[in-house]
Amino acid sequence: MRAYEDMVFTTAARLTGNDAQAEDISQQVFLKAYEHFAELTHSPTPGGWLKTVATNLSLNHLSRYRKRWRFFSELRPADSDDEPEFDVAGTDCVVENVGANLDRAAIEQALAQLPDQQRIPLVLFHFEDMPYDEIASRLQISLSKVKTDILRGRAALAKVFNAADFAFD
Amino acid sequence: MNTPHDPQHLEQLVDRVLRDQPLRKAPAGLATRVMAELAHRSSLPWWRKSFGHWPAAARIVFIAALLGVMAITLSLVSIATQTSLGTSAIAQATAPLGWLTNVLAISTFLQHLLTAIAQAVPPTYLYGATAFIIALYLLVFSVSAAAYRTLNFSR
Repeated sequence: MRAYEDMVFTTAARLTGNDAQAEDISQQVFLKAYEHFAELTHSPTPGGWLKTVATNLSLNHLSRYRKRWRFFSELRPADSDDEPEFDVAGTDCVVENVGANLDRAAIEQALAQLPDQQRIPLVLFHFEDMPYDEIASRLQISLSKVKTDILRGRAALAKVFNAADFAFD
Repeated sequence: MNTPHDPQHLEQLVDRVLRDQPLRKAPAGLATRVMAELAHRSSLPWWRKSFGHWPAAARIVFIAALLGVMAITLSLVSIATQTSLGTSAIAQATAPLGWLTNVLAISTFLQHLLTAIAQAVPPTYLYGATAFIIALYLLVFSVSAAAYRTLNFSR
Protein backbone atom coordinates (compact mmCIF):
# COMPACT_ATOMS: atom_id res chain seq x y z
CA MET A 1 0.00 0.00 0.00
CA ARG A 2 2.82 2.39 0.89
CA ALA A 3 4.29 1.89 -2.56
CA TYR A 4 1.14 3.05 -4.32
CA GLU A 5 -0.56 5.50 -1.97
CA ASP A 6 1.05 8.58 -3.53
CA MET A 7 0.07 7.47 -7.04
CA VAL A 8 -3.53 6.71 -6.02
CA PHE A 9 -3.90 9.94 -4.05
CA THR A 10 -2.37 12.02 -6.85
CA THR A 11 -4.71 10.50 -9.44
CA ALA A 12 -7.77 11.26 -7.32
CA ALA A 13 -6.55 14.70 -6.24
CA ARG A 14 -5.86 15.86 -9.78
CA LEU A 15 -9.24 14.70 -11.03
CA THR A 16 -11.31 16.02 -8.15
CA GLY A 17 -9.23 19.11 -7.39
CA ASN A 18 -10.00 18.53 -3.73
CA ASP A 19 -7.65 16.87 -1.24
CA ALA A 20 -10.32 15.77 1.22
CA GLN A 21 -12.35 14.08 -1.51
CA ALA A 22 -9.18 12.57 -2.93
CA GLU A 23 -8.34 11.07 0.47
CA ASP A 24 -11.80 9.52 0.73
CA ILE A 25 -11.51 8.11 -2.78
CA SER A 26 -8.02 6.76 -2.05
CA GLN A 27 -9.40 5.00 1.00
CA GLN A 28 -12.11 3.39 -1.13
CA VAL A 29 -9.52 2.32 -3.69
CA PHE A 30 -7.44 0.51 -1.07
CA LEU A 31 -10.51 -1.07 0.48
CA LYS A 32 -11.43 -2.41 -2.95
CA ALA A 33 -7.86 -3.59 -3.38
CA TYR A 34 -8.18 -5.48 -0.11
CA GLU A 35 -11.37 -7.15 -1.38
CA HIS A 36 -9.47 -8.22 -4.53
CA PHE A 37 -6.29 -9.06 -2.66
CA ALA A 38 -6.02 -12.60 -4.02
CA GLU A 39 -6.14 -11.58 -7.67
CA LEU A 40 -3.93 -8.52 -7.12
CA THR A 41 -1.10 -10.51 -5.56
CA HIS A 42 -0.87 -12.52 -8.78
CA SER A 43 -1.33 -9.51 -11.05
CA PRO A 44 1.79 -8.31 -12.90
CA THR A 45 0.46 -4.73 -12.84
CA PRO A 46 -1.16 -3.96 -9.50
CA GLY A 47 -0.27 -0.30 -9.99
CA GLY A 48 -2.25 -0.16 -13.22
CA TRP A 49 -5.24 -1.79 -11.50
CA LEU A 50 -5.09 0.71 -8.65
CA LYS A 51 -4.76 3.67 -11.02
CA THR A 52 -7.74 2.48 -13.08
CA VAL A 53 -9.86 2.02 -9.97
CA ALA A 54 -8.80 5.44 -8.65
CA THR A 55 -9.73 7.06 -11.98
CA ASN A 56 -13.07 5.26 -12.16
CA LEU A 57 -14.03 6.06 -8.58
CA SER A 58 -13.03 9.70 -9.04
CA LEU A 59 -15.09 9.99 -12.22
CA ASN A 60 -18.05 8.30 -10.53
CA HIS A 61 -17.77 10.72 -7.64
CA LEU A 62 -17.56 13.69 -10.00
CA SER A 63 -20.45 12.56 -12.17
CA ARG A 64 -22.67 12.13 -9.12
CA TYR A 65 -21.82 15.67 -8.07
CA ARG A 66 -22.03 17.02 -11.61
CA LYS A 67 -25.52 15.64 -12.22
CA ARG A 68 -26.84 17.76 -9.39
CA TRP A 69 -25.39 20.95 -10.86
CA ARG A 70 -25.34 20.09 -14.53
CA PHE A 71 -28.19 22.43 -15.40
CA PHE A 72 -26.47 25.35 -13.74
CA SER A 73 -22.92 24.70 -14.85
CA GLU A 74 -23.56 23.81 -18.47
CA LEU A 75 -26.04 26.46 -19.45
CA ARG A 76 -23.80 28.00 -22.05
CA PRO A 77 -23.85 26.28 -25.47
CA ALA A 78 -20.23 25.15 -25.51
CA ASP A 79 -21.07 22.33 -27.92
CA SER A 80 -21.67 24.73 -30.75
CA ASP A 81 -18.11 25.85 -31.28
CA ASP A 82 -15.69 23.53 -32.95
CA GLU A 83 -13.15 26.31 -33.12
CA PRO A 84 -12.78 27.99 -29.73
CA GLU A 85 -13.01 31.74 -29.89
CA PHE A 86 -10.49 32.52 -27.15
CA ASP A 87 -6.91 33.32 -27.93
CA VAL A 88 -3.74 32.07 -26.37
CA ALA A 89 -2.02 35.42 -26.61
CA GLY A 90 -1.39 35.48 -22.87
CA THR A 91 0.98 32.59 -23.29
CA ASP A 92 3.63 34.62 -25.10
CA CYS A 93 6.31 34.01 -22.52
CA VAL A 94 5.64 30.29 -22.46
CA VAL A 95 8.41 29.33 -24.79
CA GLU A 96 11.28 26.93 -24.66
CA ASN A 97 13.15 25.74 -21.56
CA VAL A 98 9.92 24.97 -19.79
CA GLY A 99 10.47 23.04 -16.63
CA ALA A 100 13.69 24.60 -15.49
CA ASN A 101 12.59 26.46 -12.36
CA LEU A 102 8.94 25.59 -12.00
CA ASP A 103 7.17 25.72 -8.69
CA ARG A 104 5.59 22.27 -8.77
CA ALA A 105 3.20 22.95 -5.91
CA ALA A 106 1.95 26.09 -7.65
CA ILE A 107 1.28 24.10 -10.82
CA GLU A 108 -0.78 21.58 -8.84
CA GLN A 109 -2.65 24.47 -7.26
CA ALA A 110 -3.30 26.08 -10.63
CA LEU A 111 -4.57 22.77 -11.94
CA ALA A 112 -6.86 22.34 -8.95
CA GLN A 113 -8.27 25.82 -9.43
CA LEU A 114 -9.38 25.20 -12.99
CA PRO A 115 -13.15 24.75 -13.36
CA ASP A 116 -14.20 21.09 -13.29
CA GLN A 117 -15.21 21.07 -16.94
CA GLN A 118 -11.67 22.10 -17.95
CA ARG A 119 -9.62 20.26 -15.33
CA ILE A 120 -11.18 16.81 -15.68
CA PRO A 121 -10.68 16.35 -19.46
CA LEU A 122 -7.25 18.02 -19.20
CA VAL A 123 -6.12 15.57 -16.51
CA LEU A 124 -7.56 12.60 -18.38
CA PHE A 125 -5.74 13.66 -21.54
CA HIS A 126 -2.34 14.63 -20.15
CA PHE A 127 -2.00 12.34 -17.13
CA GLU A 128 -4.13 9.34 -18.02
CA ASP A 129 -3.29 9.26 -21.76
CA MET A 130 -6.97 9.02 -22.59
CA PRO A 131 -7.84 9.98 -26.19
CA TYR A 132 -10.38 12.71 -26.90
CA ASP A 133 -13.16 10.36 -28.01
CA GLU A 134 -12.82 8.20 -24.91
CA ILE A 135 -12.92 11.29 -22.68
CA ALA A 136 -16.07 12.43 -24.48
CA SER A 137 -17.60 9.01 -23.97
CA ARG A 138 -16.65 8.80 -20.28
CA LEU A 139 -17.86 12.30 -19.49
CA GLN A 140 -20.93 11.97 -21.73
CA ILE A 141 -20.22 15.20 -23.55
CA SER A 142 -19.51 15.95 -27.19
CA LEU A 143 -16.09 15.59 -28.76
CA SER A 144 -16.00 19.27 -29.69
CA LYS A 145 -16.73 20.26 -26.08
CA VAL A 146 -13.89 18.06 -24.85
CA LYS A 147 -11.46 19.68 -27.29
CA THR A 148 -12.69 23.17 -26.46
CA ASP A 149 -12.51 22.62 -22.71
CA ILE A 150 -9.03 21.11 -22.88
CA LEU A 151 -7.82 23.98 -25.01
CA ARG A 152 -9.34 26.50 -22.60
CA GLY A 153 -7.76 24.65 -19.69
CA ARG A 154 -4.32 24.73 -21.32
CA ALA A 155 -4.64 28.43 -22.05
CA ALA A 156 -5.78 29.12 -18.49
CA LEU A 157 -2.87 27.10 -17.09
CA ALA A 158 -0.39 28.88 -19.32
CA LYS A 159 -1.72 32.25 -18.18
CA VAL A 160 -1.39 31.19 -14.56
CA PHE A 161 2.18 30.08 -15.19
CA ASN A 162 2.83 33.41 -16.83
CA ALA A 163 1.22 35.42 -14.03
CA ALA A 164 3.20 33.50 -11.43
CA ASP A 165 6.32 34.66 -13.23
CA PHE A 166 7.73 31.23 -13.81
CA ALA A 167 11.12 31.09 -15.43
CA PHE A 168 9.93 29.97 -18.83
CA ASP A 169 12.47 31.85 -20.82
CA MET B 1 3.75 27.70 -37.49
CA ASN B 2 5.37 26.75 -34.29
CA THR B 3 4.56 29.91 -32.36
CA PRO B 4 3.27 30.34 -28.80
CA HIS B 5 -0.12 31.23 -30.34
CA ASP B 6 -0.33 27.84 -31.95
CA PRO B 7 -2.62 25.48 -30.01
CA GLN B 8 -0.44 22.53 -30.96
CA HIS B 9 2.62 24.19 -29.52
CA LEU B 10 0.67 25.07 -26.40
CA GLU B 11 -0.40 21.44 -26.08
CA GLN B 12 3.20 20.27 -26.24
CA LEU B 13 4.33 22.81 -23.66
CA VAL B 14 1.56 22.08 -21.19
CA ASP B 15 2.00 18.36 -21.75
CA ARG B 16 5.70 18.62 -20.97
CA VAL B 17 5.11 20.64 -17.81
CA LEU B 18 2.35 18.37 -16.53
CA ARG B 19 4.15 15.12 -17.28
CA ASP B 20 7.18 16.37 -15.39
CA GLN B 21 5.05 16.90 -12.32
CA PRO B 22 6.07 14.56 -9.49
CA LEU B 23 3.47 12.54 -7.61
CA ARG B 24 1.83 14.32 -4.74
CA LYS B 25 2.46 13.05 -1.25
CA ALA B 26 -0.51 11.16 0.15
CA PRO B 27 -1.74 12.37 3.56
CA ALA B 28 0.13 10.74 6.41
CA GLY B 29 -3.07 9.41 7.91
CA LEU B 30 -4.29 7.61 4.77
CA ALA B 31 -2.79 4.23 5.58
CA THR B 32 -4.00 4.49 9.17
CA ARG B 33 -7.51 5.32 7.98
CA VAL B 34 -7.58 2.36 5.62
CA MET B 35 -6.28 -0.01 8.31
CA ALA B 36 -8.80 1.32 10.83
CA GLU B 37 -11.66 0.83 8.37
CA LEU B 38 -10.48 -2.70 7.59
CA ALA B 39 -10.26 -3.47 11.31
CA HIS B 40 -13.74 -2.03 11.84
CA ARG B 41 -15.17 -4.09 9.00
CA SER B 42 -13.55 -7.30 10.17
CA SER B 43 -14.81 -6.73 13.71
CA LEU B 44 -18.43 -6.63 12.52
CA PRO B 45 -20.44 -9.82 13.03
CA TRP B 46 -21.33 -11.58 9.77
CA TRP B 47 -25.00 -10.63 9.90
CA ARG B 48 -24.10 -6.94 9.87
CA LYS B 49 -22.03 -7.28 6.73
CA SER B 50 -23.46 -7.25 3.21
CA PHE B 51 -25.20 -10.41 2.02
CA GLY B 52 -22.24 -11.34 -0.16
CA HIS B 53 -20.04 -11.72 2.92
CA TRP B 54 -22.41 -14.04 4.78
CA PRO B 55 -21.31 -17.67 5.25
CA ALA B 56 -22.69 -19.95 2.50
CA ALA B 57 -24.80 -21.96 4.98
CA ALA B 58 -26.36 -18.76 6.39
CA ARG B 59 -27.19 -17.56 2.90
CA ILE B 60 -28.90 -20.87 2.00
CA VAL B 61 -30.90 -20.89 5.25
CA PHE B 62 -31.90 -17.26 4.74
CA ILE B 63 -33.12 -17.83 1.19
CA ALA B 64 -35.02 -20.98 2.24
CA ALA B 65 -36.64 -19.12 5.15
CA LEU B 66 -37.58 -16.25 2.87
CA LEU B 67 -39.22 -18.59 0.35
CA GLY B 68 -41.03 -20.34 3.21
CA VAL B 69 -42.43 -17.07 4.58
CA MET B 70 -43.57 -16.06 1.10
CA ALA B 71 -45.33 -19.40 0.56
CA ILE B 72 -47.07 -19.26 3.96
CA THR B 73 -48.17 -15.64 3.39
CA LEU B 74 -49.60 -16.42 -0.04
CA SER B 75 -51.41 -19.49 1.33
CA LEU B 76 -52.93 -17.51 4.21
CA VAL B 77 -54.11 -14.72 1.91
CA SER B 78 -55.61 -17.25 -0.45
CA ILE B 79 -57.50 -19.00 2.38
CA ALA B 80 -58.62 -15.73 3.97
CA THR B 81 -60.15 -14.34 0.78
CA GLN B 82 -62.11 -17.55 0.17
CA THR B 83 -63.86 -17.89 3.57
CA SER B 84 -66.24 -15.66 5.50
CA LEU B 85 -64.21 -16.40 8.60
CA GLY B 86 -61.28 -15.00 6.71
CA THR B 87 -63.17 -11.81 5.80
CA SER B 88 -63.97 -11.06 9.43
CA ALA B 89 -60.41 -11.90 10.34
CA ILE B 90 -59.19 -9.36 7.77
CA ALA B 91 -61.55 -6.71 9.17
CA GLN B 92 -60.23 -7.46 12.64
CA ALA B 93 -56.65 -7.37 11.47
CA THR B 94 -57.08 -4.01 9.72
CA ALA B 95 -58.88 -2.40 12.68
CA PRO B 96 -55.66 -0.76 13.95
CA LEU B 97 -55.47 1.03 10.60
CA GLY B 98 -58.53 3.16 11.43
CA TRP B 99 -56.42 6.32 11.18
CA LEU B 100 -56.04 5.57 7.51
CA THR B 101 -59.80 6.00 7.09
CA ASN B 102 -59.56 9.39 8.82
CA VAL B 103 -56.74 10.47 6.52
CA LEU B 104 -58.79 9.45 3.50
CA ALA B 105 -61.82 11.39 4.84
CA ILE B 106 -59.73 14.52 5.37
CA SER B 107 -58.21 14.31 1.89
CA THR B 108 -61.71 13.88 0.39
CA PHE B 109 -62.89 16.96 2.30
CA LEU B 110 -59.94 18.99 1.04
CA GLN B 111 -60.63 17.85 -2.48
CA HIS B 112 -64.27 18.99 -2.21
CA LEU B 113 -63.15 22.28 -0.69
CA LEU B 114 -60.71 22.99 -3.52
CA THR B 115 -63.35 22.09 -6.10
CA ALA B 116 -65.80 24.50 -4.45
CA ILE B 117 -63.18 27.28 -4.41
CA ALA B 118 -62.32 26.63 -8.05
CA GLN B 119 -65.99 26.94 -8.97
CA ALA B 120 -66.56 30.07 -6.86
CA VAL B 121 -63.45 32.06 -7.91
CA PRO B 122 -63.35 33.43 -11.49
CA PRO B 123 -60.92 31.51 -13.71
CA THR B 124 -58.99 34.70 -14.48
CA TYR B 125 -57.91 34.98 -10.84
CA LEU B 126 -56.87 31.34 -10.78
CA TYR B 127 -54.81 31.74 -13.94
CA GLY B 128 -53.30 34.93 -12.52
CA ALA B 129 -52.38 33.22 -9.25
CA THR B 130 -50.88 30.26 -11.12
CA ALA B 131 -48.85 32.58 -13.36
CA PHE B 132 -47.67 34.51 -10.29
CA ILE B 133 -46.50 31.33 -8.56
CA ILE B 134 -44.70 30.16 -11.72
CA ALA B 135 -43.06 33.58 -12.12
CA LEU B 136 -41.87 33.49 -8.50
CA TYR B 137 -40.49 29.99 -8.99
CA LEU B 138 -38.62 31.04 -12.14
CA LEU B 139 -37.27 34.12 -10.37
CA VAL B 140 -35.88 32.08 -7.48
CA PHE B 141 -34.53 29.50 -9.92
CA SER B 142 -32.74 32.06 -12.08
CA VAL B 143 -31.33 33.91 -9.07
CA SER B 144 -29.98 30.59 -7.75
CA ALA B 145 -28.48 29.74 -11.15
CA ALA B 146 -26.89 33.19 -11.46
CA ALA B 147 -25.49 32.97 -7.92
CA TYR B 148 -24.07 29.51 -8.56
CA ARG B 149 -22.49 30.53 -11.86
CA THR B 150 -21.05 33.71 -10.35
CA LEU B 151 -19.57 31.89 -7.38
CA ASN B 152 -18.43 28.83 -9.31
CA PHE B 153 -16.83 30.51 -12.31
CA SER B 154 -15.24 33.33 -10.41
CA ARG B 155 -12.72 30.90 -8.91
